[in-house]
Amino acid sequence: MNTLTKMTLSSLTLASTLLASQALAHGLNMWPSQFNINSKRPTTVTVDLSFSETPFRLDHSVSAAGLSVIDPQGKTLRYLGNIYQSAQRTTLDLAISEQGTYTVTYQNQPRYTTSYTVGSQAKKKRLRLNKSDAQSELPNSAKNVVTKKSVTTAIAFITNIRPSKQDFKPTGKGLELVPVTHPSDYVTNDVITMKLYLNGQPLRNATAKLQRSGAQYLASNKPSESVTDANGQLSYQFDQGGLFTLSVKHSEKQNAKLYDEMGYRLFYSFEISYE
Amino acid sequence: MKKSIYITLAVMSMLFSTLSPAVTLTVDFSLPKFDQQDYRKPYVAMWAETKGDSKNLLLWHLIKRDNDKWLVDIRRWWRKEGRYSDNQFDGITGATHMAGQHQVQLDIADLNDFTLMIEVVRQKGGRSLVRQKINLNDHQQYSIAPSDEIGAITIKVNK
Repeated sequence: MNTLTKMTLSSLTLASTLLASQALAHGLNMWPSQFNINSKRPTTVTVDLSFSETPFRLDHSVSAAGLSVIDPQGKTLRYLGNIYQSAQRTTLDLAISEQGTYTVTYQNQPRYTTSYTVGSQAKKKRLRLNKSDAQSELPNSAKNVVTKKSVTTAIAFITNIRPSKQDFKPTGKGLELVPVTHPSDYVTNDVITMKLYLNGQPLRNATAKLQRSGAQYLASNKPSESVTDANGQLSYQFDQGGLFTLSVKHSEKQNAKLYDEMGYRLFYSFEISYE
Repeated sequence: MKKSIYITLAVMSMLFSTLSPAVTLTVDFSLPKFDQQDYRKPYVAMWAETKGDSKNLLLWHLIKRDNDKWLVDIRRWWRKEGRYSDNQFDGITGATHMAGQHQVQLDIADLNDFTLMIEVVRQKGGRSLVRQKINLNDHQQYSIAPSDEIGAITIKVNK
């Protein structure tokens, strides 16, 4: 009973903070209009971004500042294309001029959240401040003070004509997903493998959630869960094609000046082609 | 047009016959009629798959487009063959064909043991993917039952 009350209380607190920053608890969707194209001439692929509870269902637009694109030569593009921010989504008209695989990444500015409890009922409170800035704002009675730094990342791959042969490698920073099977080769009945890294090291035993688009029309929109193996790898086999999103959450204690815990959220959108 | 292709093929096969015995496949098939107002002639691709490799044998598409973005919709063909060809399909490309009976000659060069793949995709229509294992030392004729977008197929080996 006690835990139940606590849960209700904490979800109430959550609900009130959600109003302040609705987007934070939602999933980040980023998906191109096409994953594989054939164009010898310069063309455009539209990439949509939206924070939402249900995958690929528009809800909140994002700041365009977090977008970056790596072209097939491995260069970071200086000019991405036109970007539009509307109420429920942000749209990038990505300019494609090369043959090969483009990597589209979105990463928000790290956010700091200092949470604490007050009073005899241990009421949960949160401040959107880092550890040092929170010191002056915290009440004297604050207990269980923890500051979390969190980063949200989304990635997607777009291939024009011939897929790039380059090996996908982790940069060594934060939580990353690196394809093992080339994303342009994702088809039904084949084994599709990808690998998770944390700061350049394979991330073992991490839970990944997988959801298909249109979850809101299904009897249950519960994502399927799987766990990375000893090499940090995930393998899937699909019997139906479709648009999917894979999400991973990971956090760990850290003794840093501005935070006690580092949290990562990663979202990977991909397409399975039916063959 | 079709005749000239056959003549060219015949001349080519005569030329090559002096070098090495050119093995070809004769593929007889029909494209079904669909009673729909906005009927479009289908895209047809044929190719040979061996372990880890593939060889393009035939492609019927809208050749007027020099940058045919719809080729990606011949999904397996695109993944195995199309995307690696730099949009250069010389010698095997033709325009799309009407519904009805068709016969094509495929030059399989030195292939001996492979899977012949046939993919048919139609705008505002369906898609069929047909595969047939072929071993030249084994059978000399193969028959494949009809499916949605392609009628009965017979394949003859000409050695």
